[in-house]
Amino acid sequence: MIRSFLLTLLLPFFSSANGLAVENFTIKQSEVTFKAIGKPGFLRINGESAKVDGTIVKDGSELKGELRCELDKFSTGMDLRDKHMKETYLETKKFPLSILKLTRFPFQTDKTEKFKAMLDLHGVQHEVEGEATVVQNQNKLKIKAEFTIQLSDYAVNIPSYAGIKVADTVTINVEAEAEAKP
Amino acid sequence: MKSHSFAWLLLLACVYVPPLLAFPENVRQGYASCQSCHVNPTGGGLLTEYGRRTSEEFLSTWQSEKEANLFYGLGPTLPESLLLGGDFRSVALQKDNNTTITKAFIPMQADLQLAWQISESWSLALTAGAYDSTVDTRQHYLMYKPTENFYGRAGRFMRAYGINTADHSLLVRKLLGFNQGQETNNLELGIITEKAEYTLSVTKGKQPGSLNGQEDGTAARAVFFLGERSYAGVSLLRAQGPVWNRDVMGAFFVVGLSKTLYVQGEYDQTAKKAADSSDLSTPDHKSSVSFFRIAWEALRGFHAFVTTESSDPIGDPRYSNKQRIYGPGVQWFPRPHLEFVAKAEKRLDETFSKDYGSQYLLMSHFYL
Repeated sequence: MIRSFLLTLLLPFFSSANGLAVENFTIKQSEVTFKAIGKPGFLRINGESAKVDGTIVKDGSELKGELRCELDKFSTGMDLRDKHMKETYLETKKFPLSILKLTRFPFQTDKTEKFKAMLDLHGVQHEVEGEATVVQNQNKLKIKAEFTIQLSDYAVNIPSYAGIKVADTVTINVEAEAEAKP
Repeated sequence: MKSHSFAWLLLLACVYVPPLLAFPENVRQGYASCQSCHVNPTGGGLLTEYGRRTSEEFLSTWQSEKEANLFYGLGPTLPESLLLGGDFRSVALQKDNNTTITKAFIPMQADLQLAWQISESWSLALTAGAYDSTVDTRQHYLMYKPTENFYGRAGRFMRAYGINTADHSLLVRKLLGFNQGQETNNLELGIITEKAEYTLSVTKGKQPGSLNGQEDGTAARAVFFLGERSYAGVSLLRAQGPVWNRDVMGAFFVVGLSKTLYVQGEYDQTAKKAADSSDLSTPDHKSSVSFFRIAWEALRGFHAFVTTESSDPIGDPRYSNKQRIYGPGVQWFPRPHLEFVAKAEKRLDETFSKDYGSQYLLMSHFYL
């Protein structure tokens, strides 16, 4: 009994390679948006209404974890465009989720840092790089991240409709608020 | 009395001219540049295929699939290189200047529009119609567009200046010579990027009709796209006419406060100098003109708005008159192809009276 108690006390000190505590956070609120450009006319196509869920592990000065996004939730404000995006290009019935696996996500509260992650989209995994700001406030983490992808890297055909062609580069923004697991 | 009414009718016909059907407020939906929806790079007139789809997808209250197609989709399928459209407008007006009530119905516009994509970079556009019982082409130009970022065109069209709003009866349009019917012969170059749009138009060639139409000159406009839903810009015009030489400069904005709430405005100053400096009857003078509108898309395709407009002399009041217009209005696109605008306005034009009059207007518009 005494041994178990001592082990419980000492465990956090050995749980991380650098000696700092490991904390687990669950995403409570989030918003994922994307911005694509249609040409001619530099039409701004904004995808909204999607969220991410998942668990983030704060391991010393680095964040780890997987963020899952349900692609069917995206809306661009035009029903027909959404239909084409989901059925023809993202094929969301076949690939309903996109998963962002954080591979190198340095963490220093309230500082913008570069990160790397593996994005699984449309059945293809490809590394992405971006910038993120993380703020820790007691048991909460606020994350703002932005990265760009090339649709062609994910075997997504370049969307084209009625003379408007979407540019290959799409910018993705993720905002999430996570709470430490009790 | 009869001649008085006739004069009002003539005035109304001159004052209320058909809009060009450009909707700069669509910037709040991500449509920063006009080129996605219009063949004309500075907006208005013939719709692209995508422009027809947007009228179906988010512009109108109700719609059915393919309803926005040419002839409601009942006509023959045109080759991809050919675009066809048409604008048909009329306005019913009642104007009260405190002594006379004038009612009028004015068939304003019956235009057919055509664009032909000759090759990947070259296209030809033509807008022809019946105006005051004559057939004319208000717009015709040859355009060279080698990339998405650049175009050059030559022909007859409206120079790029200020907000190319659909409401061409605004003081900022008609007092500055950018009313429909005041298209000029121009050579225009345009650069379009993701962040901005720059246009330079050189006008050469005497245009019959208004004094402004007889001007040579240069107009420049820069539009900067701000965030996702707004833009702001500046315009300059230097023109030499038979009576006046004028320098006009101004600033304008369209700001989407949300997807349904937006404001737009423009302010311009004009400095006029007599073309003939020995002509003492036409001294130098300055004036300003402004417009502001706040609008709310209460439900899809139904917009309620309040507009204020003003025009003032700067300095000597003898050579430009004070005007004020304000009032509410609604604009409704019940279905693709159809538009209605109703406005109730208080109007002051000190050329005619020191008292405010009123005007009620219903504009109907059918797009082919």
